[in-house]
Formats: sequence, structure tokens, C-alpha cells
Amino acid sequence: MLGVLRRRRLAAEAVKLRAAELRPLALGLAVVALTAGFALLWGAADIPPQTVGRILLQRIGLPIEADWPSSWGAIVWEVRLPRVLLAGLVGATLAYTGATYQGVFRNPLAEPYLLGVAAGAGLGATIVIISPLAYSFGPLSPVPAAAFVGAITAVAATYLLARDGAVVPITTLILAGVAIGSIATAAISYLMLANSDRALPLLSWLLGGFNTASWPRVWLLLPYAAIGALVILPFGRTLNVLQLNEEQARQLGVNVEAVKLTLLVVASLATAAAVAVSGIIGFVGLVVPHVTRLLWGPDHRRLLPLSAVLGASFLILADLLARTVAPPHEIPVGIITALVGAPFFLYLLRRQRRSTLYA
Amino acid sequence: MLRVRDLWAGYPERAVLRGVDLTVEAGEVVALIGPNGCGKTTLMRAVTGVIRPERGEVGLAGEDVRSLSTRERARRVAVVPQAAPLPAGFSALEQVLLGRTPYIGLLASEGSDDLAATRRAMLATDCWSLAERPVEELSGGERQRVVLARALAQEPRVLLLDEPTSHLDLGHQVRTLQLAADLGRRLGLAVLAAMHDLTLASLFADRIAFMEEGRIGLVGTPEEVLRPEVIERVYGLPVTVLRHPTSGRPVVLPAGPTVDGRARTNGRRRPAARTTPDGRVEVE
Repeated sequence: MLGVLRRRRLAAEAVKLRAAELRPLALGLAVVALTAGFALLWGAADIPPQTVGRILLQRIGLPIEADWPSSWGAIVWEVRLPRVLLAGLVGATLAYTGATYQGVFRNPLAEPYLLGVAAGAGLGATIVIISPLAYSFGPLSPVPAAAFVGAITAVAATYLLARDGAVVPITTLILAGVAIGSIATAAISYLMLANSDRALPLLSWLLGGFNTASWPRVWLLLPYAAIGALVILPFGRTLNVLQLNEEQARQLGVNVEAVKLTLLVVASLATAAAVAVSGIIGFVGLVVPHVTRLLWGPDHRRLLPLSAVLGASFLILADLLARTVAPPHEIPVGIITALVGAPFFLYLLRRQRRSTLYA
Repeated sequence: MLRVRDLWAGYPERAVLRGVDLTVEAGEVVALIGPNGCGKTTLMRAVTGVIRPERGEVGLAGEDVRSLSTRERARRVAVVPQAAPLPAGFSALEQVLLGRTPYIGLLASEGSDDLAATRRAMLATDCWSLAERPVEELSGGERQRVVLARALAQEPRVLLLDEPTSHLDLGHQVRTLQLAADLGRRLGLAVLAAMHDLTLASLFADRIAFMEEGRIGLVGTPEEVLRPEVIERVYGLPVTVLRHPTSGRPVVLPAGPTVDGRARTNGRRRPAARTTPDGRVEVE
């Protein structure tokens, strides 16, 4: 009898444990919705909020009469909405892959670009931008495809160079990533100097941004971002076990090399897709997971989804600032993410410095 | 329960284990002693399947370690390592729950059975009252009890302790070893504990296995193994062996400096250092 009661209480505790994981997530999703709505309403064209709402409803098929200028419809549906969606998707992807890399490498300096993704994508994009190819496809730019191929090539080279038989030592992997990144960066610099007439579009791509956002780019990224999240999020518990160290994780029954390979491949594919559509946006993948950890703790079951929602909100807001603070010019969003994000991160770090999270 | 037969293992260029034979029965505590680098940790890693044996066999509750999957192995053998990692930011309960990993599907989460096993393990190691505390606030002894609870939560048949107390003070060393030994006997686990302190090994182990250059040189009760001539041969250090006044177990004391101030070492005379009146150190 007592045993049954205790069993029931333990079951209730188990449910409570799981529920506690999800509460901040609901909050985070609400914040994403709020920032996205805000970013949709705000822009160079002064469109009343109700009209923005009605344009969206009409476009998704509700029977609403279009009593607005057709340019407004295009601005909301073809410019602002894909831009907000793309910024949100890229922010979420960089943040959850950043948390994954930091978890797999057990290293607070790890970030999604660690294994050469960014430099590889940059080289791929550079080669296309300086070549006549850049204009030969009309509106369908070949740059994202080239960036994607470059990113995947760089990560694959890093992984294969670091592999030692069946195992891939973490330190070797990081160092191989640094080496591959250096080679690609050197090539980019040389190509940029040798083609100085194309330096400006090249630099603008490398700095990253969403001024080229479009529906095709959203559809390009979405499957990678979604599949990446679906594969990685369930590994939260396993990533917690990996935080002990690889040997202990193995002694607790985790197939460490298989888990590492799965997570790195999936995270790298998602990162490569994000970089391909938006260029190299720094800071988000490194710092958003840390901010999430400082706010909600290091448990990966919470850390991964919360990083994603925080990353989405953060990049949507950063992009909103990038396109509105200095009209009619746009500031590269990477400058905003560093300028706004870094002081906030430092503030959190100072406030929490007595905590032993980073002891 | 744990049966090691003619085990050869190590690194490609150098075999560390050269034919280890060792048996630990259920409910028995065996201390594994031997000088640094003799292969104690390698033996533990071979038993847990972290490194693959080249030759010989390791039987865990009747199954050879190589025929078991990583998960199956983790249900049979648990390890308390020397400096067990306890990442900050988790509660003691969350840390012990990680011990349930071999019972939880890769993508599943803990159920009530896992919580019940975790609670049992924490009650047995007297750390259930710490369940909600963040691990970084715990003392060294409390942390070691949490790590022991994590190993027990695996519900293993074989418990390996790899110098589990070398960083603890004497009080915690004794209490932790006592706890592990009592639990092993009560739960019928085969306990193999690598340790450096010969006297503590003598006090808590049923048998002592002496490891020398990759094999078990001698195994038996503390009285059989802890003899001055054996220890002197293995460590190159002359010792005195006394009887513990209450338990009667052997107690090992290194031979101190002789009356003339020189250390005695295995027949060789080590140069004695002496401070001259003007403060220089002079070596003979």
C-alpha cells in the first residue's frame, strides 16, 4: 500500500520534472511572436498596423477586400514577412547549433563556425561573386548554393583530417577547424584584393544580413533548420551526460562517437544552410547559448529549445534595428548583434560572476 | 561476478596489461594496489570496455565484456573515478539521475522507476537530503557520496572504484571507503577498488590484489599480501608492518630515517642532504 503511494508520488514528480522544462519555452515562444509582430509593423513605409494585419490575413486566403495600395501588399508579404521569418530562422539555427557545439566540445568558446563552416561558405560565395556567374542566373542567385557547398566541404575536410581510426579527438577537431578556416580565409583575402572592383558586394556578403531576404531563401533554409532541430533537441539528456566527460559518458552507456558524429553532421548542415542564405553573422551562435545558460541553467533539455527561441527573437530585433536606425541606409546586422549583444552579455556575466557556472 | 582471465590490453605500441588474472565474487571487496603506472587504471578501463582487450577475457556477471553493447555494459559495471566530474548548475538529484542513462532510451526521459532507483541509491549513500542542492555547493565528501550514488543508480553488479578517495581528507577517506565496502557487501556487488594507501586497503578489503608490471603478482587476504618483503620488492621501499590494535589487520609504515638522519632505501644509500651552518644545502 505504502509502496503504491510512493510510486504514485514519484510518478507525479517525474511529470513535474518534465513540466518544469517547458515553462520557460512557452514564455520564449510568446516573446518570438511578439518581436516578429513588432518587426512586421515597423519599416520605412508607414503602413497602419491594422492594414498590416489585414494584408497578412488576406494573403493567407481569408476573404478580405484589398483596399490598400498594391505596393503595401508587396512590402508586407514579399519584403517584411520573409525578412522577419529568415532572421528568426537564422537566429534560432545559429543559437541551437551553437549550444550543440558547446555541448559536444564541452568548451565555452565553441560556436557554430568552429569547424570552418563560415570560412568555407565565405570562400564558396567569394568564388561565385567575383566570377561572371554571379549575374548569369538572373534573380536566382547562385551565391547561396556555392556558400553551402563551400561550408560542407570545409567541415568535411576538418572532420576527415581530425579522424584517427574510429575516434575523433575533440582537441584535434578544433585545431583542424582552425587550420581549414585559416586556409579559406587566406584564399578569400587574396581573391578580394585581386578583384578589388568586386570588393564591396563581397564584403557586404561576408558581413551578413537580411537585405536580400526572400521567400525562396526561407524555403531553402527551413528544411535544414527544422530537421536539425528535430534531430538535435531529443539529444538534450545525452548532451547532459556528455558534460561529465567522454569516458564517464561511455561508462554510463552512451555511444559517444556515434552521438558526436550525428550531432556535428546535423548541426553543421543546419549552420551551412543558415550561412548560405544570410552570410556570416557573428556573435549569435557564441553568445545566445551563454545568455540562455546564465538565465535558465545548463540543462540541455531546456538549453537547446530556449537558445533557439532566444536566438530567433534576438536576431529579429537586431535586424529591425539594422534597417531602421539610420534610414535610408542599412547597417550590417552583425555590427548590431555585437554592439547590442555584447554589453548585455557582459552585464549578465558580471551579475552572475559569483555563480560557479564558469568557474 | 567479475572474472578476468589472461587479459592483455594497452596501447598499440605498448601492452600495459600482460596477462591479468583476477576474480571478484559478489559481495566481496578487493583492493587493487601497486605502484604508479603498473596498470590499475588500464585494468579498470578494459573492464568497462573503454579500451578493447587484445587477448584474454573479462566476464561481467557471466557475459564477456566484448559481447555486450555499451548500454548493456553500463547496466553491469559502474565506475567511481578518481576525480569524478560534476558539472556545475545541476542539482544532486539531477546528477544521480544521469546514472539511469543505460536504462533510458536515447531519446526518452526519466520515468518513475528511474526516480525510485535514484532515491534508493541516494538513501543508501546518505545524500537524499542533498537532492535539491546545486552540486557546486557540496563539500568534497558530499560530492563523492553523490558520485557513489550515481554509480549505484546504474544498478550494477560490479562496482569499480578508481582511487576514489585520494583527494579527500582522512575522515572522508575512511567514511567513503566504509560506505562503499558496506554497500557492496549488503547489495552483493563485486567491488574492485584501486588505491594507494596500503593501510586503508588492509582495513576495508576482504582481499588485496598486488599489481606489478601489468599482472597480478600476488592476491590474498591483507595478512597474506602485506608482508614487508613483498612491499619492499614492489615499491623499493623498506617498511615496517604492524598489527592494528583493534582490528588486528596489518598496518604498513614506511621505515623512517635512521638515527643518523639518512633515509634507508632498499639497500642503496640515497645521498643525504644537510643544511650547513651558513644556510647552504650540501649533498653528500
